Amino acid sequence: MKRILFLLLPLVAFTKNTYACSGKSGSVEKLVCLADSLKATLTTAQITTLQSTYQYTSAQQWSNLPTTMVARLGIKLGSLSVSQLAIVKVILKEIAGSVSNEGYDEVLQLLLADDYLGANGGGASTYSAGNYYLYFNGIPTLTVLFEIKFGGHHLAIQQTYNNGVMVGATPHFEAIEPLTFTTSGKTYIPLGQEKSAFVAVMAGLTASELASAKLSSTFSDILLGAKNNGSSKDWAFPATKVGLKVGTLSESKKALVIEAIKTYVLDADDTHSALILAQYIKEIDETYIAYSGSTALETRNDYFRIDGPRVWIEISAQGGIVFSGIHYHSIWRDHKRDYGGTGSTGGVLTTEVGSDLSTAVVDLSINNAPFRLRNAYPNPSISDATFPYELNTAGHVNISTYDVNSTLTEILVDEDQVAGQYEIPLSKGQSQKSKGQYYILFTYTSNGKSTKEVRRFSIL
Amino acid sequence: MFILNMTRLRHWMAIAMALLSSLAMAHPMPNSIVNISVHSHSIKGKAYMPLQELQNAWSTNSPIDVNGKEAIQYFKDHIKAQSFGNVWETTIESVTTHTGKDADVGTYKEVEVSFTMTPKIGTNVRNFDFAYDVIIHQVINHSALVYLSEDWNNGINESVAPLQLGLVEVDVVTNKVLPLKIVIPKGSQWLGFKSFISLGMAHIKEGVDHLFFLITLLLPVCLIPIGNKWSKYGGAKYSIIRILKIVTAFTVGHSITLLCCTFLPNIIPSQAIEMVIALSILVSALHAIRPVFYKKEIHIALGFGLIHGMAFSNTLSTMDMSHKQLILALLGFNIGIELMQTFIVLMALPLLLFLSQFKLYSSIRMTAAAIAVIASAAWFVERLTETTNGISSALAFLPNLASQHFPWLVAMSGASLLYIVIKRNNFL
Repeated sequence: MKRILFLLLPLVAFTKNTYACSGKSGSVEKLVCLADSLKATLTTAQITTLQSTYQYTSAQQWSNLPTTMVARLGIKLGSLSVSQLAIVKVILKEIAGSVSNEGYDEVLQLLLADDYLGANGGGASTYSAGNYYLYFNGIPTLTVLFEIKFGGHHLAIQQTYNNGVMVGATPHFEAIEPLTFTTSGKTYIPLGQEKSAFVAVMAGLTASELASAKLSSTFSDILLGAKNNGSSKDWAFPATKVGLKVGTLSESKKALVIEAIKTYVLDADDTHSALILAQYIKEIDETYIAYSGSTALETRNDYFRIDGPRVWIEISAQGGIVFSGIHYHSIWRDHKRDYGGTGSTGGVLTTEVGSDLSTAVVDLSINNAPFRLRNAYPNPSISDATFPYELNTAGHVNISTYDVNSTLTEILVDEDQVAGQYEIPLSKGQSQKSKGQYYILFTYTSNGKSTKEVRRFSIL
Repeated sequence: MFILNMTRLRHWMAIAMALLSSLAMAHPMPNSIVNISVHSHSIKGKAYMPLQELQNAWSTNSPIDVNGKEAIQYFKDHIKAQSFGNVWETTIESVTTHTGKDADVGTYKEVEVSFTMTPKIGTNVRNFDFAYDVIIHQVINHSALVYLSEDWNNGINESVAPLQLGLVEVDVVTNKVLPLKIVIPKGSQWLGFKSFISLGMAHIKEGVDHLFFLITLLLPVCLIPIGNKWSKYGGAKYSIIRILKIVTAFTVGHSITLLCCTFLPNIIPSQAIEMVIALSILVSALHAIRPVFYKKEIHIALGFGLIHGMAFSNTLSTMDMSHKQLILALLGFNIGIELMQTFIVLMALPLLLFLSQFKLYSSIRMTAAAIAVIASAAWFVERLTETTNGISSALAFLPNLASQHFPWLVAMSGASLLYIVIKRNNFL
């Protein structure tokens, strides 16, 4: 009951409108206002716990271990009142993305996962949503360097702001045990779409491409994870990229890699994640993918990596701690913008996330695109999912679904369409799909030029 | 495992805490720990690693036979030392597997590999490149913490926290595992000897039960019995001679068994020894209430001294030392014990002489004896049930309390001494 209350509270608080903050969503101005609203409800001692002046060593203080083993900085959610928690939720919502199953939604699911882990063998004192901490590394204002840090056992969010702009959204660590769980009648697979996206990338590769992507080393955990034995992996990216160069792949395979990158980048707030993503897409040809173990990410030591000029994403399947079977550790880092550049040779950045895009990238701007795809919903579904999209310019549209083995399962649309909003049922009825992961390949052709994009969905 | 006396327990806890803090970083048990010890002609070591990680690094999926020929060769190939261009000879002494359980990690299997690395005769064993890459050569997220756990010349032994020498891991930027450069300071024989003196002193300072026995035995030492009651002050000469006799007897007793039992450990289970020690306090306390064995205190001090010495010996008997080192360790340890014991007796002496003058002393003596009876019972129960109780854990804080109020104790003792010197005619 308390848990449901916890999830509903932000809505209640919003309607009460007791701490309305002006400012555009995603703006540092609004974030600072929300931080001040939270502090207004706390005692002096609580504020001392919540924030301190910016320290790089504090920025580096996060972990994949339970909070009972490695203490986190900040104020413990379990120590807050219902109304204080509500403001924390609004802050999290502000710094995280709004896409379903990513961003804020994923944060809530990962907290539920720890509650589940605690209640099913792990012990609630070690694992629970109350064992997560919010910390302001640097006092949030529009003129200084500060970091919003939120984390606990299987989540570590580090977003850095400087002089009123966001300068870094990483490192961003997320992990899950067990992979799937049901609580209050609802089933969650918090890292389900991350996994499917990685598997889809690998499933799309030919045998020789797979051979180039395969690493001979074994990974029983991610490489650039939290401090290990006191040794920090910050700013320790491999000098030489290994695996398969994405630039050598077909457009549709590149699109799958971009889809995989999105499952992490979209965890940051919508405004900034769009800018970061545009940068990563621009560099996609210079990005490498690599794996170790098998390609299904279902066996211990299975591992997948995306390493670009800026992006770094890793996922590792490792043995369970409380449950048998595997559990995932994963991380999103940025070669240039981890901790907003603090601790790197270049030092702390002053340029806003996305400002390093060249003008050429502006063409990637979503508004100018001839079409815009949305996510299939409900996802996952039993059978009746719908795929919405809009066309800004008329063109030929082909929408086909493929299973994880890249086998065509259905051609849903193959016709010329005029501009407008569309909703396509994913199973037309005549061919009921069996359960599993699928992806939708959307091909838009206009003036003899084709553009492809991929979306995923799953059938339970 | 038998319950340890509080001193050892505290030492072990200190090491456990040190280890725990490093292991904590290692969750979920993925990493290795290597403890090395310095010997005169070789380096010995114990490497602890999770079986699962070893299996991850193994070339095949079939379960690894940790004692098989292949595994032994594997350990030999991946545990190496070299100095001045010469590769040392590595011998794998033993490989064992333990099952551990950790609240946060669950049940896990750990492999312990004991090895010896020997350079050419005459080579300095304190300066070498440790090319250890067991597991790490393949599982590149794995790492191994290397500790110096025993080195006589630097006073490092089982009773102190091991010294961290470094971390073996893949350098992610270059994707290479570099050997760990190990340079251990030369130290000196004296440093090792001194460390055992300190260990002996700490042993008495923190060994509340030993002190309780001795002090309780000394409570009525200045008094003369009349009938079955302690009566009046017996004079300074009488008192000092009796104290000297009792303390000497206790010293002889525990020195004998400390010597014997270090070379012949585990003759008597330590649980039994610890229980008898608890009883010895009761016996002293009863004597402090009523003269039970007047003029036979020497026998009691000697007898129980033998038992207390057995407890002391457990500290040294588990350490891996050469015979020469063990003898030096014994000597240093015993000197430490006697120094601290003498110091405490010298502190208590003026107080005993001073207080025994007064009528009020009988109530002080009775109160102290009653406390000793309670302490004895608490320790006895603790050692019988192998679980601590409220009283026994409170008693463990006494050394801290005494250290905090040390200036007061010295002042009281000094004031008594001064009073005795000024009014010496009253005390003769």
